[in-house]
Amino acid sequence: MVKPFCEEDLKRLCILASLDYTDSLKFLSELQEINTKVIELINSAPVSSDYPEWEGVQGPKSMDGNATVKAEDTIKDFPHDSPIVNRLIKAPKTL
Amino acid sequence: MSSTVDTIKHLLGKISQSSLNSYIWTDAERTLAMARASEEYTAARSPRALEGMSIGIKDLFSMKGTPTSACSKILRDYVAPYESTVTERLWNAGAIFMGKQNCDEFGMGSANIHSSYGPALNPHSRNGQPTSPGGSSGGGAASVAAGLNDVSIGTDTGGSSRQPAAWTGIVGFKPTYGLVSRHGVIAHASSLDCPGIMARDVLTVARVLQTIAGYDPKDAQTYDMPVPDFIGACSANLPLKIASYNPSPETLKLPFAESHKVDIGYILEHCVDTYMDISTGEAMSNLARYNGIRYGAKINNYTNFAEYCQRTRSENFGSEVKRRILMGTYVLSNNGLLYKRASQVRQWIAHQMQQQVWNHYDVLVMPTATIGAMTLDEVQHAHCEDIYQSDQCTVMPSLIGGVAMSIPGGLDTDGMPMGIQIIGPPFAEAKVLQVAAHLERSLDRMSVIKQIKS
Repeated sequence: MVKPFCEEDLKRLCILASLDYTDSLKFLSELQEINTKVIELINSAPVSSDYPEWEGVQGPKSMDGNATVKAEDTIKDFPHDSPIVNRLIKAPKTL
Repeated sequence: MSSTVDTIKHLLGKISQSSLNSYIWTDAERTLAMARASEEYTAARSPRALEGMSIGIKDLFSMKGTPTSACSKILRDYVAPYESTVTERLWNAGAIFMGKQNCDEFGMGSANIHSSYGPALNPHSRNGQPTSPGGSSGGGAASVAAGLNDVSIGTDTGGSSRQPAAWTGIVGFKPTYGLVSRHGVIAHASSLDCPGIMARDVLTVARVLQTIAGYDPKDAQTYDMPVPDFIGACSANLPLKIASYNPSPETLKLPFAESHKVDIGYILEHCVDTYMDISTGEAMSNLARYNGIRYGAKINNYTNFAEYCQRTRSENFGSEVKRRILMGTYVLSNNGLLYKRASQVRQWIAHQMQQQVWNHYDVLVMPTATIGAMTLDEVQHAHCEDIYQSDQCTVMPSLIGGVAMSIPGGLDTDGMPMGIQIIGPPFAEAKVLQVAAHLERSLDRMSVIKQIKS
């Protein structure tokens, strides 16, 4: 179980992270808030502690996801202009 | 018809007069030399793939002999000694370098307010107030939206190209992790970092992706396989199944597709915290090198080595970077227990997405961001936790290493741009581009926005 974040933690972290402790004190309350929330959520994680860790993006076994576009599958003369974008780009700049 | 040189001169003039603070470094001489060379290729009737395309580069990309600071004070005098793979491929394809673009320091932020060069501004203003273009690639998005260049190359770790695209009314793209080389990109979170592309339309994104994608021996995470036809995918008409998570399926009528609503809320609610644990842990590790010895600005008047490192880092990193370094150090302490748990949840998220969505559907459509662009005043006074939570729509594709694209989805009640996001599993670029290109034209965007906001 991970303990909530406290001032002693901040001192220790500043040594580990090579950051000035006095300068870092301004982050204390934010870090306490964020870390409490993160810990709560991690402790209530939807998986048990023996669930596998991230295995990384698995390389494609084939190119099915990407290489299925053949000439006969495309629409000839498909218009590529975008009316909404043109409207936004031409909008008067207010700055 | 104006020449490439004339066009580029015009754009350089617009950049120099722009008040958006989207460019932080330009070299007109170098840019015009590239434009002249491009004209020669065109005159010889042998144009390259991106001949004459004007491209701005996020200040996280190393370019040989060019200042590369990650918009951080700690790298203010750093000149890169080598060229990133992405920029090398762009210049070899005839693209023209317009300059380095503003971003959040080391890519950490969602509003481009954490830059040592000051905030970039959105050309679309909310109620007349100075407005954020989003982040971290805010300078690139603002530049494209304001017509200062055709394309901006950003990075996308948790939405840094897609969210700014949504807030500025342009197209933003994150490829599959490992499809585009990270060589020469200053690292933020190594298991999530991807180069990103921002442009005014889907086809232009596909053209750039066609050029920069593919195996690079300098990045071990890239895949050694042929690059598919991304340009052709934009006009493809293959039958696809679309999952929709707000907007409703009725708003996504496409001739080739059937759409169904899915409920992935129980997956998304774990994404932001998982992302923050993983990204801060990896960022802390990546930024350890900036200590004033190997890299980084140097300080004078110190009494010992520990003080030298602490003061160098404390005086030259910005507040958001320091906050994340401290969070990351905490995540990696206790034998990395929090990082390990986040890594397990990340695997669970990928598994759930596979079971609930990818086993049944080709792509997923959902909003890019739940709100439109915030004013600078709003983001500067927002609690950092609220800013982190604003990434809730973009971090899931990053965690699973998938592909995602934001296209303009209409306007909110103040007339500010909103984006919709097309997401696919890893290596589904062709399907995402097909849907995005068709939606770009056929969607009734105002009705989609009503769906998003309701």
